[in-house]
Amino acid sequence: MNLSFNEKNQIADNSQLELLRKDFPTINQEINKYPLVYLDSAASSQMPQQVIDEISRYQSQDHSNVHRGIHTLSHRATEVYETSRQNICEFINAKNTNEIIFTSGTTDSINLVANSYCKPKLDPSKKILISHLEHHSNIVPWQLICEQTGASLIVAPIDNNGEIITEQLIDMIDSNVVLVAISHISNALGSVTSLNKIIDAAHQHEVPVLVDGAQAISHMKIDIQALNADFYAFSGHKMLGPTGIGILYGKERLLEDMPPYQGGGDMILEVKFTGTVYNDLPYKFEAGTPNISGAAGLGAAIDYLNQAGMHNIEAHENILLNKMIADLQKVDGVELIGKAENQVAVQSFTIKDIHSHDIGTILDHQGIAIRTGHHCAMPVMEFFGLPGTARASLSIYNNEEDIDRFIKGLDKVIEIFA
Amino acid sequence: MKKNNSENKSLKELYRQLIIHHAKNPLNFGKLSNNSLLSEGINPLCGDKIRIYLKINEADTIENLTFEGTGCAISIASASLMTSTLLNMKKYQANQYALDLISNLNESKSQEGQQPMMDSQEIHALEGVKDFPSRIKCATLSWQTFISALNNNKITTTEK
Repeated sequence: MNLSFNEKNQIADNSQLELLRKDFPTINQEINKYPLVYLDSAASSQMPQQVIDEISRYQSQDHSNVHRGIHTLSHRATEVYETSRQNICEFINAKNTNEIIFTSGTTDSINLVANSYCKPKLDPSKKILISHLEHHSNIVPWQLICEQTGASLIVAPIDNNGEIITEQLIDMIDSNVVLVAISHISNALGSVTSLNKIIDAAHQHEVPVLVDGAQAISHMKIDIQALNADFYAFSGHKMLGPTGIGILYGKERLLEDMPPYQGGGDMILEVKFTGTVYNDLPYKFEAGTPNISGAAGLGAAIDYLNQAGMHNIEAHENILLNKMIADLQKVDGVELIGKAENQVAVQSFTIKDIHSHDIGTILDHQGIAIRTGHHCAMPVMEFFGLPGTARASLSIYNNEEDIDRFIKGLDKVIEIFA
Repeated sequence: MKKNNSENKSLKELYRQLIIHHAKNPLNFGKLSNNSLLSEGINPLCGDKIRIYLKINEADTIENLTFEGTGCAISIASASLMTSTLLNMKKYQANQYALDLISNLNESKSQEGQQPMMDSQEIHALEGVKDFPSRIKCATLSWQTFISALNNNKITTTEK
């Protein structure tokens, strides 16, 4: 069967996504003598050959430093880097490339906003508002700057389904809140945040909103202008791209007013010992030689996602998630953790009296990779009174057989602990 | 799907009946009251936490040794075996025993000149972790925490 495409050069329908599995070399291998079932894409997704090839092509043909030399390779490297930026800009529908800052990943993006946007505005009367659902990378950067300035970090509660209680979060917003920082999708539970309501409410108080989009970016179409988030952070390695590259989207007028985060080459126009003139956006925030091959890979990952079609990916993963949830509920002793009405690509669970690491080891032994433990979201685990959960997460390359193998693998876990 | 007998064998080595039994029914589980030494061991990679309570009498003998905490089957079973093995040993003996066990579990299976595992059949059951490098710290956490308690350290971590 061959792929068929629509007029936008996207794959015609989601049933064809299964054909893409062959593009992922890491997926097509045996682990512990079984064909790999990879259900840990929420930790890091795998790269298609097209991304690997583009990184290799860049390194073997175009590599030099960007924005510097007059020679051909420097020009090519700059073109690769800036084309990727343009690609990302279109992918999330940002207004222009001044709003697209290359970082090393979501964590770096959040730290940039914490230090450059928030910290100068903080004093003991000010607050930063997050939710109980956040990944440590959207907690600790705020704790650090609050400790340094005496500001308070306030935390909106979640309910037993693992969803942010939107009304309570909105009630916590006032003019002393400097920033609301929340995840688009919970990495531990897959719950989707009601961003529209929260962003509207925050903007009524003239409070900007940072969205941690690490878990959302490869699972749904992001239209940043429609969403109206002020900052949006994501990582290459959770969207079929390489590690060590990520993006901070920021509204241009906010970024313009922010001081540089780090100093170095590339972020300056003129350096004198009497004072330095900083470069314009987006370079003001990109000190030092950037991760050019990472940008090349991320650009290729976006080409790949575009061709697959984000609406197809969403439909494909939704079918698989519904099957996974239904099948998990039939397994004796399984309790689903996180039952959000709107949930994407992730299901956390426990099995009665069996620790998640034991589940993980026994599944790994059958070639099945899941994540176990606290998922870098200890407050979420504490809320549910658990040391950790087992978490299965989905991506474009998963299929129904993966779910069947995973469920069958759980029988072995239960058998060993019987 | 074809059966992978050799693979299943090492899984059975890891989760021997004895390990499952200790994990489900840990010995010496609970707090000790006053006059005991206390140390907490943390594996920050997985969030496992074990507290060791230790009482040494005037003759330098381990008079009482208990633990509490959360962890996987391997770490709970190992803590259970640790408390029952080291109880009534002299302080210096127990310290050496714990050090030897940790270094034994960290040695790879194929390593030449490896010391035979401890005399006890029960402790021998812990050797199943050697095929599972990511699980060795689960087995050594409680022993490391015991040494930390002996040295009067309040806290220890597997990642130091």
